[in-house]
Amino acid sequence: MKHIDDEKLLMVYLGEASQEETDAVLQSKQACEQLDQLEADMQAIENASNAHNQNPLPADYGQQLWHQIADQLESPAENKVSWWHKLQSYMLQPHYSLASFVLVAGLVMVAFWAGRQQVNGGIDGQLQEQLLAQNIQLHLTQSEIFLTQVSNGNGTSTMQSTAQRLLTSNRIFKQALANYEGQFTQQILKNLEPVLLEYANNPANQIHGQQPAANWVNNSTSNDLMFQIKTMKKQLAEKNDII
Amino acid sequence: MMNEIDQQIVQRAAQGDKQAFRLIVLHYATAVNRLAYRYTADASYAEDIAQETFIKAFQAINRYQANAKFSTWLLRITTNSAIDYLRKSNRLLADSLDTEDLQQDIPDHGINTEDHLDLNQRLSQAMSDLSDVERLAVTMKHHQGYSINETAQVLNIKSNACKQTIFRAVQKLRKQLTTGANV
Repeated sequence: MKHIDDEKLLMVYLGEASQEETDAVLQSKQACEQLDQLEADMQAIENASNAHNQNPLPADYGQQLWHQIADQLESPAENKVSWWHKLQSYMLQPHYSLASFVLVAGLVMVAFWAGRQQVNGGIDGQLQEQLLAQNIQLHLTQSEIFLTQVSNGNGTSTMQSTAQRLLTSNRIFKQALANYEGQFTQQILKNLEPVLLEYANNPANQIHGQQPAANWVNNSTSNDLMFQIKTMKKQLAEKNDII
Repeated sequence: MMNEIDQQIVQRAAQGDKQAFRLIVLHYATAVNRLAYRYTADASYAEDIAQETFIKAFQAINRYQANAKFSTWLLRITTNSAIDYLRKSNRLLADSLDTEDLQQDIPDHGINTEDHLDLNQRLSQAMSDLSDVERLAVTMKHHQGYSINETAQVLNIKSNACKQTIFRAVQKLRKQLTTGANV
């Protein structure tokens, strides 16, 4: 028999041939005999595969297999439930509802506290103190120049506005220092304030050529104040530390 | 005909009951391993494929529809797992269809009468000597009852190529029967 006939015969046996091809094969006695032989051979092959099993399995193979895979099994249902749904279902259980409320309230409190901490602690405390110290140092320098000018009689028409600006700065720094333990710096600013206040409240012509009533140059404390300002400036310049 | 497991056990397993799934493993483990061995002719491969089959089955069991036999569904997973495994294991599969070595005949074990191999042994050896794609195709078609088109689709080859592959495999196996008769 030709090669193509064997293939056609196999397709008939496997039920893959068309009805016409099948009918044509079955009309031939020789083809029918060949088909019978093919069926017998295929059955023998199947029987041989079943009978001669080269892979004998132990009686408890199923149990062994289960032990090997049991730890690796992950239910699709477990996979599909997201953490959010788990949390949601937990929250909605009646006996956990009060605990859930407390938990949420606690989380809000913690978030609020953390937020405040972030605002307060946003700038490092030490850095903040250093910046303040440098600004006070600059303020004291400007105040020293101002006081030196007025004591030398070199006051100009802008002296009153300068005094007013320095007075404003002085009050701001004094307020800022209220949060710090350093008393000496705060005391110098307190001593400086009445002097600046006097010059800020007097007209320009009074400053120019005529010392105010509380002429600080002639005041017994003036030298002390100037000394304190210089010392404090030096302290701030060297250590950047509010004392 | 395979004895089917109780449908209620399948339903419980589909709901994530691992103990119910354990019963399924105990019931079908041997059948799955035997089919995997038919596909691969390698005991170690069959063991790996059986494990993979049941792990995949557990993950997909809630998609199983009860209008089909559970064994049919499970053995389809076994078939797909075997094909995936053979592809991954660097054993040339569908790509090897056109290569010449596949056209080589199986060694004629019947010629060596001193080996005293009986028919079953020779047929079993002949099955092992088939190429992977030949063994897969003939097992899927003849043993598992897939159609030619289904087999071709699963193996990712053309329908005509699949027919020729099955025909070639059957020829090789029948040759052992003929040789056995002549011995």
